[in-house]
Amino acid sequence: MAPDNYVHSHGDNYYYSGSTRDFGFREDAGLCSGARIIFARDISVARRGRLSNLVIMSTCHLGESGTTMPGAFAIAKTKAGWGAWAGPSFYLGYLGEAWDSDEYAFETRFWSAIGPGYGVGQAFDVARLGAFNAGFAANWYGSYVWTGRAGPLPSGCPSCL
Amino acid sequence: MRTRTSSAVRRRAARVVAAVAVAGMAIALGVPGGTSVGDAASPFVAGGPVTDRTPVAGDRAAVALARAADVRARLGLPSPATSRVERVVDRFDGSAYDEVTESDATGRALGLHRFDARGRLVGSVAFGWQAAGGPRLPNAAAARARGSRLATDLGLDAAGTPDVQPAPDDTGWTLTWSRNVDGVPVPGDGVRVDLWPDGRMHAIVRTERPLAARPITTLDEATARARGTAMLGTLFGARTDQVAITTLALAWVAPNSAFDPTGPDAPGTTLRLAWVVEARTSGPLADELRAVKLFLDAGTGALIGGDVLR
Repeated sequence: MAPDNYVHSHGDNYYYSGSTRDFGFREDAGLCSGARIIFARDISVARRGRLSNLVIMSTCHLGESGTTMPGAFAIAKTKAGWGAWAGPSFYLGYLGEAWDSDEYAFETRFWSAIGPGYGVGQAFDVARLGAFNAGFAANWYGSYVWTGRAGPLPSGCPSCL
Repeated sequence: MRTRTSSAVRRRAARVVAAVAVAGMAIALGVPGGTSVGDAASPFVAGGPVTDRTPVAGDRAAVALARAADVRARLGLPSPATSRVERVVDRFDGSAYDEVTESDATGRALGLHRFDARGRLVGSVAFGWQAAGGPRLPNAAAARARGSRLATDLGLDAAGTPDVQPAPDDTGWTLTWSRNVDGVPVPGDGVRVDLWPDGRMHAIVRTERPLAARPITTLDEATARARGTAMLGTLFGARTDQVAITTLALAWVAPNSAFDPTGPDAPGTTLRLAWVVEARTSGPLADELRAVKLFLDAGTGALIGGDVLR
């Protein structure tokens, strides 16, 4: 499979074990506190290196330069602009602490821009043309020139369609 | 199998969950539930179209194209093979502008420029994410100097010293001139210039939303703090000891439905003077929620919106 994934939750660079840290997000378990942390490395193990196409981490911190979350979905931490290609993949996240209103506004514009002819990279650029709280910053990895459509489907999977 | 879920749907669901906890309090305190605070003629609805686009031709298109050519010349951008002019009504922002989209001979969009009703440049972006170019600006001071010159040359009304921040992954610089009105900040409004590492323009955005009339009398800080404290108590109940007000200040804010699931899906287009109460969490509550903002109308103390930091 090459699915798309969207997460809106509490994200951070948490302690994983001892002094080891890893990026992750809180599971939506309907809990007010103590929800399980889903770490990038655990996602990576579960997905066994399979690519996701479009991943949006609508959380704090998971778009930072040090984030390990793109790799969990087999998305390379590169920015392939015009003339380059990093495969059918795009990862979107935010730096530092990001308020809900900014994420909502950014993503509303992002989805809106993809439709009328823009690819994911151009949609990212268009989404930034708005009013945000001081310090708000979005980041991306993957391919700038790509439609955002899921695929390609894996071979040898007769039940994928 | 696609597992993507519409962000708007997800966000709406999240807002509903957050809002249920305070809906009763909000109603009791006079929140205008269900009252449109956006463009009444074409309010944005989550999942629906954000913009309405209409082709522009004739003299009006010629004016927009001339303005775009001027911007392009000042920024050193390449000449396009074709240009398209559209009138855009943005339902989410409640704004309207003429947008010039420039493309190369293959039809690939090179960039766009937006002009408001007064002909002012309110948005521009160079597409392609071509961060590599000429010699890099050596530091923030050089970026500030370059961005300030650009802003002045483009007539962006960028007065004062901008904040300068490096872009993620060393991909340039972001300069921000924040708007203040009589000493009161207008968060989100102002001018932002994004530069590539070598100083070329990546994007420009100018935001100047309308302000409502100031209230005849403004609640004093102590009263606003007391109201904020009471609302936090209602909002967090037994966990109130894990929430503490960290800042309390006047600001011009867009009313929103952060705590009202029946309200509009977009923030209000006319800003109102409010006491902004920011409270940070601690203890187990901080596992899920970092902070919350309450917007209290500066005149009445009514909750007119807020924000959440997960």
